[in-house]
Amino acid sequence: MGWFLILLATTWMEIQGREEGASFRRVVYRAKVEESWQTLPSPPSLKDTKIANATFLIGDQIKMTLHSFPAIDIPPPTLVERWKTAVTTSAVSTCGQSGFCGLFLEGIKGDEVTLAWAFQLDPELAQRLHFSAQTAEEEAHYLQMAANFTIKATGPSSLIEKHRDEICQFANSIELIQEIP
Amino acid sequence: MTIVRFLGSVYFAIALIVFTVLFVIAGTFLEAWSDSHLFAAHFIYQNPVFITLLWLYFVNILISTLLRYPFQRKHIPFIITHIGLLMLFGGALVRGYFGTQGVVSLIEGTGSSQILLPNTYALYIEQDDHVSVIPIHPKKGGALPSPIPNLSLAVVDWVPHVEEKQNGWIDQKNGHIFGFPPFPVFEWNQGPLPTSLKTSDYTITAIKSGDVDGIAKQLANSAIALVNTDGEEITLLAKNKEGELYQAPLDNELMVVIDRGYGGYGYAANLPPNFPPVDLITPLFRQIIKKPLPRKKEEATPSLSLLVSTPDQAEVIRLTYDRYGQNLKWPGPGHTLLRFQPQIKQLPNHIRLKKALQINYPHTNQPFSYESELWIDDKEVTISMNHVHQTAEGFRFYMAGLTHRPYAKAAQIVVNHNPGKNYLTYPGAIILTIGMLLLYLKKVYA
Repeated sequence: MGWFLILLATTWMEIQGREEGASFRRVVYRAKVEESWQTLPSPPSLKDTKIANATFLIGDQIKMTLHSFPAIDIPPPTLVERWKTAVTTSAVSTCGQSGFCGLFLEGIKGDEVTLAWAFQLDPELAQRLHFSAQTAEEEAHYLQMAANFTIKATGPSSLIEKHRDEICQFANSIELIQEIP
Repeated sequence: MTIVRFLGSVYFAIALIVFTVLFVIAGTFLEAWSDSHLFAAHFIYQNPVFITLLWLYFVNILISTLLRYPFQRKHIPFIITHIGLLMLFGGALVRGYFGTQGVVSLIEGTGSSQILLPNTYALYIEQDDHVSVIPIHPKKGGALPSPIPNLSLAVVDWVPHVEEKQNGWIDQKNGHIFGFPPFPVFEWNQGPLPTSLKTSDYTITAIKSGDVDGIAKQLANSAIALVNTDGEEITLLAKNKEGELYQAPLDNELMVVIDRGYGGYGYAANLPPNFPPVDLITPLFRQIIKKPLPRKKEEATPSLSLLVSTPDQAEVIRLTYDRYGQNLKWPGPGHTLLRFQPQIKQLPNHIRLKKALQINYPHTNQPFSYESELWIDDKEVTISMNHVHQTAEGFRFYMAGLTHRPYAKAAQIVVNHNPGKNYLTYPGAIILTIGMLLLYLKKVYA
């Protein structure tokens, strides 16, 4: 019943990629977002990779961010190892959909729980994207599509437990809007 | 009139039933013997004699009904039953002639509006992003219609079953690295290592030997050795200027595509950062080995030799059947890419695979079911082994299988369309049931 209610209150939200060099941001992702989530505005430029592509506030105390990295190829295992140094890891498992594959980590630091996903596009699909670009415009778009990305939700453990299904639904539903050729 | 009466008679019906039973018995035995439905279908169910039997049933039922004319009230159950039977046979014939059964194999994140028709043959030709797929009958051989001006195609050889191996680095005689001429491969047991070729920074040696450790000891500083240990496995050994040893199997996971495939393919190997950045890239070469035809027809992988000619170039290209149409396309004369694959059919729907899942029995790795999350046009759909999705146009989507790849998974989805199902088969079954019920009641209350 709970799952049914989640579906009723969910909408697909489109999320922009990260621009590189002279290119501008394209809308590349879509994911299922709870209507009760608050979307924080992102700055005009995302050239600084510390700035998130999208930031959501869930129940006032959970902050969830999506970061993409079109120019840096950090494999998910490396990112997870880095996260492990910041939190006490309670679970690591594989995950993936829509051509992306990666790792999921759940960690605790004090009273805060972190749910984090690191995704990487299948190298064969990344190669297909690269080869199908006919123009510089398309190449810039496909670079944003092929970027590795992370999703991180951090908040008090009781609230994370309450919103876990919604957060996981977001991470498990995220996909590229444009199909990979 | 005697012939017409015979065609509508119960004797003819009994003869047809006897023949059908014999065919079905033979089909059952053939399928059990060969473990191949395709084998039985080829000899029995798709055999022209069996299809003629279906037509004769249709004729028998139709004439036996018409022979009752002028119809009377007592004929109603009989006529209803026979109309139901005619509709059922009509449905089977419509499905046979106009139905579709195909398969689409998708990697997560990709989509298609085309299905491949299993056990059919076609030649995929690509030239500068222009793609043609021409149906072919390769067993017949001879010239094929070419979709590209100034390019002629002809099948010059056909092998019913082959095994294709793709490899690089060392073939039967030579070692191969891009940028160098083919270099000799040496047999080695002991003593100083021979040198196959020299560059300004390194010497490269290709060796056939099972003693990798012995070769590692003998390897000089600033030297690379490609060691073929057992005919297929190749190990890369390298020593830098400081004498540090690097050893790794060449697993050919890193593929190099040259000029989108028009320039061929290769495999790359990387040396660690403390070694000089030498580009080790080998051309991919194929070994196609003739094999005896397997009893199970579905497992046969045929291969054809295609003579591809342009006004100034001709080349024979060996192509192995790619049953899912997803493997490499091979470069040919006239700036073409070629693949031997099944015929394709356009669907009215677009399918995109979001996620393919294998669901295991609890606490085991034994698959219990396969599941796929799809976008069919703009609708989210989940299909599994026991859950079929049907579109408004009557196309049914079944989950057939799942392939685990190194990264994203791939799903095989069967697409089925029976245009007569809603107009003939299902109403026919209902009408037949009503007719049989009326026949029974007529006997009880007569």
